[in-house]
Amino acid sequence: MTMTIECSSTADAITGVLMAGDAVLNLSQQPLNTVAGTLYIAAHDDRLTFRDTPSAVHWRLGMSRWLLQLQSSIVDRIVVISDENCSDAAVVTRELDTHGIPHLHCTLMCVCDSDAFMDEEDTEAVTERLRQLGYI
Amino acid sequence: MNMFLLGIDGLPRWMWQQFANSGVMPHSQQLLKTGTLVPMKSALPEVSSAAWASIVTGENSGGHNVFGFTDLMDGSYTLGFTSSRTFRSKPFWAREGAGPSLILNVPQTYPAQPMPGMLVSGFVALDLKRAVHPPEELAWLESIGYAVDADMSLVEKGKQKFVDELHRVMAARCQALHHHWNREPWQNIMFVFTGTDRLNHYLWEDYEDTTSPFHQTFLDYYHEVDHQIGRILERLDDDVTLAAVSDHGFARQRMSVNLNCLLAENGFLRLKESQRPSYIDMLPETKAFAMDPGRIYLHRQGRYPGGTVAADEAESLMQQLTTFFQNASVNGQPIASEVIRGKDVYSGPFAHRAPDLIVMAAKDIALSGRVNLSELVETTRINGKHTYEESSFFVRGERLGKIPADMKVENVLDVVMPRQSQLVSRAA
Repeated sequence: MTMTIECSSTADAITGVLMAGDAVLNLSQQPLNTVAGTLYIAAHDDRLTFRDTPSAVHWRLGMSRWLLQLQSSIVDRIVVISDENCSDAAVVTRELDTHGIPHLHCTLMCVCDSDAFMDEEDTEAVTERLRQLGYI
Repeated sequence: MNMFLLGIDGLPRWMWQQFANSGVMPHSQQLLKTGTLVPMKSALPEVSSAAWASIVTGENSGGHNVFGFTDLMDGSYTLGFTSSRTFRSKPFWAREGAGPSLILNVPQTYPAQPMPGMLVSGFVALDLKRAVHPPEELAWLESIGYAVDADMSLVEKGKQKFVDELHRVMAARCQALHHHWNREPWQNIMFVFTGTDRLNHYLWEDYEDTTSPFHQTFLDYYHEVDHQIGRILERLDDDVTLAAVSDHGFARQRMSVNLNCLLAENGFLRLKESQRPSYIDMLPETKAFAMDPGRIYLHRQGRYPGGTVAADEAESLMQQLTTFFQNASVNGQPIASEVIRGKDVYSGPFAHRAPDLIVMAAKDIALSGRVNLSELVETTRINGKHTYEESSFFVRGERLGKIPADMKVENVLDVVMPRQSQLVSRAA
């Protein structure tokens, strides 16, 4: 049995969470700002397969048995991405726990909770202010 | 009005008393006779973002979720800047029943959040448009040249230009305070002088050196702050609770040490080659890394995508790091006065996000958490540094809570806005 690792991010900043060897199971239905070649999990009826183009999954109970099939030599970890309070994500991570499949659950923060108010120029400006005071 | 909370960023308790006694701050001399001034401990580490968050929420960082000016987003190596949106505990002006408040220049309140009253954000505010609530107050503030921050780059053009800028910014902020004071029946006003912190960072050497041509410049700035304190005192009714606080103390800085550089040189931190190194460049072999200023995080499995420190090796690694920092010296000077365990000092629902260790800087030393490893000893114009001990807490009023013997920033609200059960009888 594995433990679910929990984290939070935003759809725009998700590359900060993903690593080589990850496969994304996107339950959020939001488009994610991933780099080309990111491996996604897609659903065909209840069957789950890998795909190298963005895909989202509407979870159905019948998909659980396909989770075990996702363990493969090309995937080190499954990253489950969901909105907050997503009951499907709780089901999926429980299944992954039970089957001992390495995984991470990333909750997408709504924009109002994130730092999305800062664009690149803002980030540079804050960096400069903090640098002037010796913080970074 | 119930309360006026005055902030004087970075003013040490001993310096305030000394300037009051010596005539540099004559209004403060009168003020301090009317209440109680005690030394206060800052946040851990002694960084303004965390300390002001503690002052306005009554929680330590484990409760309000602000541990520094920067943090990594959970489960990632993405560097984020903390802001008003990082708060997970309500500031006093947003509490139920707080009534309308006027909040000016409080650090860590950017971008401005809706609240009952008026708020203009303080450091690190970038854009006045997003620093003002309600937005209709923006035009007047722009018309008086209100600046969300002083232009600190002016220090490169000379100390006098820099101090002139601090005066200009302070004058506009004080104008805004007095303009808005009587426009509403405010229940609370909070106003923070932040130029004092900037002055202390860049002119501390001139304060200490009485022969410096800028020694008097330093004193004159505090004299002007005191003049503004006098204007505030003139307008306050006797029945208003008045508190004046600083978020940390100050002392001389003679050397700034990059802790990530030290960790890398000693095998605890390994980065990929990169033109602009960042936390995402950390290799799995990394055991620990630092964030501003003196926060040490173990590169734990489960907490970070490439973390390799297992739970059962964390304790021995923390002991190893504690011994390492306690014995570390740079250019013959010890860098740490103490190494504290995060789990011993933080409480609340966000305590699990705390650093594993906090390195407290030794005398004359400042610590940084830059990821750029080019300089162990950093080149900087800064010559004054924050201290954990000896920030200022002054209060006068009738309805006050007990001042703890070991006063800390998170205790301020318990004294100045006590719940019924915390009230103590007190003569002002």
